[in-house]
Amino acid sequence: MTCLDALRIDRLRKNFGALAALNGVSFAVAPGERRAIIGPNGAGKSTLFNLISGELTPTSGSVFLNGADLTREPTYLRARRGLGRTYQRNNLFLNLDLFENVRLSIQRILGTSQNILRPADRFEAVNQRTRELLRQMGLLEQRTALAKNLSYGAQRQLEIAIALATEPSVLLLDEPTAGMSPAETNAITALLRDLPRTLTLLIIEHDMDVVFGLAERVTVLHYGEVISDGTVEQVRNDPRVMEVYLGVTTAARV
Amino acid sequence: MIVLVLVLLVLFPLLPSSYALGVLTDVLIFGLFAMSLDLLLGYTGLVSFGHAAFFGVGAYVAGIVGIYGGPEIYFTLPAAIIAAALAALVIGFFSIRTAGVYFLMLTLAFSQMVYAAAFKAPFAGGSNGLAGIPRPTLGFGLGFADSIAFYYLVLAIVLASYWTLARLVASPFGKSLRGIKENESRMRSVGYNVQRYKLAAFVIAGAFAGLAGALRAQFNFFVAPDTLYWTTSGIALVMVIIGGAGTLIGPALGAALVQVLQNLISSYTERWPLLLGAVFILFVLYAPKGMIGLLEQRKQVDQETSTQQAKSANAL
Amino acid sequence: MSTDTLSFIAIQFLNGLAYSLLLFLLAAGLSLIFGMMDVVNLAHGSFFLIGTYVGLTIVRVTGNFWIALVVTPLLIGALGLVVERYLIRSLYNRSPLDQVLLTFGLAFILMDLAKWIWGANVLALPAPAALDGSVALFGGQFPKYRLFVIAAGFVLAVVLYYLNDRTSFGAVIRAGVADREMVSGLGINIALVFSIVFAVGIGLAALSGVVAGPIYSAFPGLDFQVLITTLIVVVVGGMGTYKGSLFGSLLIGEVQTFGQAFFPDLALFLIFGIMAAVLLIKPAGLFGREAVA
Repeated sequence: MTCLDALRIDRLRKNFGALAALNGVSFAVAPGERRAIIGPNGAGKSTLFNLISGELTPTSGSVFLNGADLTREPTYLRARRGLGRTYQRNNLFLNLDLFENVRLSIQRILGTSQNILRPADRFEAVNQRTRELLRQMGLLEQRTALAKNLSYGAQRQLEIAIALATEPSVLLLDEPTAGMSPAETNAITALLRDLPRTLTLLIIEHDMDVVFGLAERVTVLHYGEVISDGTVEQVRNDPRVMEVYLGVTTAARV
Repeated sequence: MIVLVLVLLVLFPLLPSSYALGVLTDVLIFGLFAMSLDLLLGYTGLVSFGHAAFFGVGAYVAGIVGIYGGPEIYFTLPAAIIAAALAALVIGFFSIRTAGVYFLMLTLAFSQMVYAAAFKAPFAGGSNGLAGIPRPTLGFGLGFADSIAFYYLVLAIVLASYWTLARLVASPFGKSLRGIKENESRMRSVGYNVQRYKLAAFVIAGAFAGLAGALRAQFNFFVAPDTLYWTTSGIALVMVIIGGAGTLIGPALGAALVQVLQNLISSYTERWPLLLGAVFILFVLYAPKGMIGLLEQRKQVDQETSTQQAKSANAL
Repeated sequence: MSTDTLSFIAIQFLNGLAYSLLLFLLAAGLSLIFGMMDVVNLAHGSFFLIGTYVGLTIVRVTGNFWIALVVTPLLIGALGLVVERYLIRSLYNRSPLDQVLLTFGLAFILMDLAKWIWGANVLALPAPAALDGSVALFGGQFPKYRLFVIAAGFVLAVVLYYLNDRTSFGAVIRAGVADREMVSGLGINIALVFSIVFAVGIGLAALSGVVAGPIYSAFPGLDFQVLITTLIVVVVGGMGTYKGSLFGSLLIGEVQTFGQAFFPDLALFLIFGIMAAVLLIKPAGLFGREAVA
């Protein structure tokens, strides 16, 4: 294929002592694709995200973003190259208000964050963009609330807003709907579905309705290895997946 | 309220007590020192136990330049600020690589190294310290030799520094520092080069500490190696915590409280460090947000009681 | 090399060893408290100094060094129980910073208290009569007392290793350092473990203080010199590891001793240089575990 992958993972390994959390994982994600990463607990999904975002260094293997090798780059440079992520457990600025939580991302991408001379409130372009994003996320009314005082659902939305604010080209979403009510889950799913196709999404998710509602392709991890990779239909019908994963889940659900 | 405080500060030299003026000059100088530490402790979340290093470097450099170069303010103060900033750059470069308690230990250790160096350096007067430091002059026969003139110089510099620091913490850079204090790893993942910001904050805080140190040397005509000792870092830390970290004005209040108490108590007992340690521990245990925190609590209680009073008034 | 030089080097090596083992007792206590409780005890040097002073008072009263050697660490350890119970414990649910600040305030208080009780003069603890004088060694003279320090230090290092590695209390400690939540999940009384750890940690500091008394005289200010050197040892060796404390102490102790013998003006800067180099190459210390996210 001539088209450049948005994200390519090449034989990625991560050992914690004797334990191989990730055992040579390779896959590629095309630009604009919606890819779900599924697998039972302990399959290595969050480790995979931490390796992609640079919060962990791999034992071996490489990570490419839009064709550029990022394996040796620190987290903040990966973010500047267009990699965004959210966390499974809310990772917010708890003692800052909601507006400030998002503004920190916006002022970084607009390049004003090192300005030392003017009060932050006077950067109209930054504030404007922050308000727009908050409106889009339905969070604008709560903008003066401290992040720690928000409801769990709003915190989960803020988690996504902070990442979206950096205008990533590839966004890693680590269980975006974890712990949410069905109504909140639907709202988040709708919001993610409406994101522009210039953005590539990787989603770790346990809720199969969310997975099948959003993703075009699915990668299945099991004990640190890719056991299946294909369209939703292909993966659904893959006997190995049924055996180690979906079978168990459906049984448990019913 | 602010205007009242400013008016009092400006009119203070009208009081006939030169002793009180001296205490107030010291309060202002230590207020600046404590505010500079607050930029690290209260805004960036960097707990430096070695801030005396920069205070001391500023004091020594202002002294050495004043004695061997000349007392002109255009040389002594910039030299002190630049030297302190450079020292902060070097110490910061190493210390910033670590976090939390390691950072704390390293800054403490490095500052003790600077102390040892001052103790051994012949041009710094060794254990005798550096005496005969001149008050700054403006040239043309004008200067700040007189204690009232020097007080006004210190007042002007401290107010200007406060204004600058207040602006800085409100700027996007200052907001970034707050973000780092709150959640360093998230700042990284949205693309901030956290180390650079921390180092910049460390250098800026060092520069202001150096300025405070220079004023202190000129005020006393003297620097002792003790200026660099851990107790000086400790006292700055005590001022910030007692006053209220992350408020700028709190640490200045803390400096006032500590300096005034020290002057009052030292004439009755030698056990000042004991008392200071005890007061500090009480604040850490029962009022971790310092005096400013206590004032805010008080305000809230007042508001609540007044609303309650209004309610009961309505009921009647 | 002449035999004189060789003998000088051998004697210095032994001096360094005695010093290193004193450092080890300090570093092991500091590191234990940190590893278990996440508290960097900035009053550690103060407990060392108070240990020397209390030892001195006991020797003055009883005339017996050995009583001081045994009783002092127990007394200071008991003091540690009180400090842990009434001061540090109320801060466990706060940030580790508040606990550090508390120990810092404690250092201020202890510094002044010691000055109040024992004055500002340099005080020396007399070595026990049996260990007075020197023996011929490597063609030179070496104080008997320092040989005792070396022997006792090694015995203690082995005992600590055994306690840490082979006993069930040691297993609790090691598990607690690795994963505190797990230990409290096992139904172990974590508050009690913390009390014991803190008491043992500063008891070791006090023991080091008594043992050091006859070699290094006590004076106000020694508390912080000792604290700084101990901090450097654990930074170089790696916080919270037994091995790190041992090898860090040996390295820093010997370097400082030889540094003082050959370049007296630079000795202090030499150990700072080592610390800076270690931090650049291995920020977690020579034996420290890298943080796992």
